[in-house]
Amino acid sequence: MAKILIVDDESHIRRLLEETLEDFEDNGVQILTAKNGTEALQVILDERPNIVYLDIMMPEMNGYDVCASVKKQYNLLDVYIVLLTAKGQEFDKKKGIEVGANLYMTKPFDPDVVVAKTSEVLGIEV
Amino acid sequence: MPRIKLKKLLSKLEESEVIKQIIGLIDTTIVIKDEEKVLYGEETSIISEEKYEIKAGGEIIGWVYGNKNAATIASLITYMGNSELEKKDLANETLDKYREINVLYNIPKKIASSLDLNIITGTVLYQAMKHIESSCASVILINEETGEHEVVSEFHRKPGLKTFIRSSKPIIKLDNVIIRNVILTGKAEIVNNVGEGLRKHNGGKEINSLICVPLLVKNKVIGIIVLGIDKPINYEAEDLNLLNTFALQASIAIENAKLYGSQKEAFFETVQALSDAIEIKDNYTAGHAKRVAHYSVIIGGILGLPRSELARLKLAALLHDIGKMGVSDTILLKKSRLSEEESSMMMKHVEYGSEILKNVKKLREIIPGVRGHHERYDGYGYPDALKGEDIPIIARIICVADYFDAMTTDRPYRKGYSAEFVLGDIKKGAGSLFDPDVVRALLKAINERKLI
Repeated sequence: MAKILIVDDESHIRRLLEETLEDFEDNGVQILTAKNGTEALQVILDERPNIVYLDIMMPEMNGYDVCASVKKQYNLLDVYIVLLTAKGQEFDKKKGIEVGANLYMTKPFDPDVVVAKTSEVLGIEV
Repeated sequence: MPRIKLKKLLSKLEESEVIKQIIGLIDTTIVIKDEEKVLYGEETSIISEEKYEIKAGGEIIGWVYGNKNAATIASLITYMGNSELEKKDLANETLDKYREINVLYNIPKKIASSLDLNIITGTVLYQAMKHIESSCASVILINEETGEHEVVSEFHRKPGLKTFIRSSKPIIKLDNVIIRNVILTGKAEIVNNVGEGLRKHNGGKEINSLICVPLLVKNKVIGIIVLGIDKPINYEAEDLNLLNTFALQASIAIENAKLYGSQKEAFFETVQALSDAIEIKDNYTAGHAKRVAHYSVIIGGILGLPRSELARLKLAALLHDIGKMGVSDTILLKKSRLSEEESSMMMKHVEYGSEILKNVKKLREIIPGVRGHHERYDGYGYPDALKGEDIPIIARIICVADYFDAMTTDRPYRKGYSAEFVLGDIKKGAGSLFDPDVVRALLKAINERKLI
């Protein structure tokens, strides 16, 4: 079963992403959530989601660190990671590439783009 | 299908432990089921058919089986379900705002980078139709010279199709009262139930509601955007606001495109005037430069030149003899054979040409075509005695087109030769006077009747 993981410390962002990706659930995709970096890493290792929407600015372990850990330390290259950054916040492109992120998006994200990207990665049309 | 699934709702409640604690508080066995299966408890625990509905948004999403205490659980979950539904609605509203923000953020980028009126109006209409439910949309601009209203872009939704297509026939009629009113007052308007009342729309059958917003530049109406829908839907102030925002961005881009267009037109008119001036001074028959340009572009097309190169080719062909301005009239208009000295004066015209053009920034890039149109493929031409591929391709093309037109048209002192005769001549010159590839392209153009 395909899995999507949503990671953000703000509950309303998690909610919005869940709502955006709701149609995938009807197609048998499981949507998982995590509130912080440490929890996210645990879920990624346990559940091996196909795609992760990962907020960068989080307390404890930030998005860059989670991504680096997944891609470099655990070598899980087939986990597609989308870094989420708030508009106006400086996004360090170089760092994003360094830690092995597949894509980055700015919040407020375009729901249609999120759905299209997820569709593409999972190979599921909704 | 209900908008909230009981299973998902329960899993959320489970996380918060609320439901378990409350069930623990009441002294009874309960079973929770949705239409498909048991979600809490055991099927076997159902001892009576006594059950209580769980609803969300007025829809039944499941049942709680058990004694009267089960009713409390059912209303608790119903309450949770409704609050979940509210959150869902709020989330979706926010997502719509997200979409809107992104459109407003992306549209200016898209249209500002374009100077093509078609692309600008097309983009705006497409986005407007995507975000405001509609069955057709038009951009109508006011022609500054004639004052007439012109539909410049129009889309409609094909029944059953998700996307929109450009319309060939106008759907929204120009003499519509509503449209005329918005153009006159410059004030946006929503008209729901168009078919009713005095403002009956010409194509009234097709449109139920309309939004019409003006395109304003410095408080002057330059046109309008109209959106219409065939379904019985009423437009609201929010739709109007969004369309107004689109219109605002479109107006600026349209104005820019128009300015660019008129500048471009002025440039071509100037080139044309220059080209005509040479013909008046020279003894060539009228239209020589225009025909050379026409032939050159066709040959260039056959040779597969890119569009930008074809544009340069056309300009260079129109102005290939501009240097004749610098040649004295006695030589230029002399009907008898030129002396050696006169000949070399005449040959100077290609160099004068590059001199004249080098100070015009937008024409500098055509100098190779003008300067090189008397070079010979075998290297015995002038002014630089370039050979073969060293001669710029546009010059090699103009050379052939120039010769072909000069020989096939009448002169004051002789009749024009037939195309067949001139072609035979040109074929003989392939490889010496002319580039064989260009000659082949000319023959192809004539065989396929592309030229004359």
